[in-house]
Amino acid sequence: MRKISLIFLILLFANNISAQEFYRFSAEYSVKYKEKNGTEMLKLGKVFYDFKQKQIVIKNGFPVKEIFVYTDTTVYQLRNDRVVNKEKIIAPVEFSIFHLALNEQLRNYGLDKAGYILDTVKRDKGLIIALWKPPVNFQNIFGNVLVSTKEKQLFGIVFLNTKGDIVSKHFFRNYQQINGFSFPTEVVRMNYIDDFESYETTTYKKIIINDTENNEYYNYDFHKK
Amino acid sequence: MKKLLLIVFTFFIVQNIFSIEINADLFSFDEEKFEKEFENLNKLEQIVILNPEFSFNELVDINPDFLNLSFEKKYFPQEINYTAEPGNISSFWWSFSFSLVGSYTLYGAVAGPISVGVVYLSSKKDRIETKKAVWGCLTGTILGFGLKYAVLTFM
Repeated sequence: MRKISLIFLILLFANNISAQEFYRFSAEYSVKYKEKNGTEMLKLGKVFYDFKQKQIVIKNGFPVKEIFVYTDTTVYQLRNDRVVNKEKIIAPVEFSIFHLALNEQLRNYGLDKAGYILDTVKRDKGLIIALWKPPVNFQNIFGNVLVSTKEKQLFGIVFLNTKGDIVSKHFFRNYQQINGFSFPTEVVRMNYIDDFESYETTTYKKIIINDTENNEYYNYDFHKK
Repeated sequence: MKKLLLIVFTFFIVQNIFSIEINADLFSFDEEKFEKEFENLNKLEQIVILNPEFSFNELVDINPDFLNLSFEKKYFPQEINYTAEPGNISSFWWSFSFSLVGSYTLYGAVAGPISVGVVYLSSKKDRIETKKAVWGCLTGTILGFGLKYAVLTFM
């Protein structure tokens, strides 16, 4: 009986390992943001994400040393180990680039999980372009989304409003391969809403997958702070 | 028949207005222009990377351009949107302030419940934030009426 239990336990354990091959992500980031009116922003720091904990920890180093912890419903801002602010968020952590990449769902940006419906697929100039329609109940609020892939990797996303105008373009470039894990080291965004226009570029370097150190950041206990 | 054709024609036009031609050109942008937009920020980024031991204020002395940087905090690598508490003020103090002023002036006593309603809607019906706002409203109302009573009685 003991042997059977042991075999069962090993099988269960082995199955769990294969189910989630990549479970931790960390990298140094740099976010540069510019608005058409000249407003500029620069942020540098480190990001930690554990697939099981489902909390993104942003350790910002510049311009302000502070930590942001994103959970599914709230973002906590900490300075000198104390929570100084918390705010509700509407985008779950599961739709962050880190969760999608670790879960190998970055190719369609998790739109299928969000209830979007695949409408049309077209091939053009080396890109495979898919048109996704929002869930029926949200079609009067959200527009269609165009997702393009190149060599089986997410290339770009174009967000449209309900009138069909482009409101945002995202590009995912310079993919890095780490033991079978693929991640874009540069994400470029352009937003066009009415007269407002902004550009943003995020670069990632020193990416570590399945990090066995820095446990305090992957499971950041901000409640005790 | 004419009416039917007109309806079909109108429908066709509307459909075309709201549709977009799917092609690879949609996934292109002026890279040269884009790089140019970030020239200054790239320069500042290099200064920060090369001088990790310096604080923000010390970097301003090295290059005053740092002073022009925005401190807007919502832009982070994972692109998550916010639903903030009203004006980024704590829900309790938000309702407390309105209720206190409202109940003191008596005619504005409805300000408290309205401020609770604002918290309820802006926090997307979050129970915890609404509860805080209700407590703020009750405390502010009691204190406002108390102050009013004290002023009318003793002054």
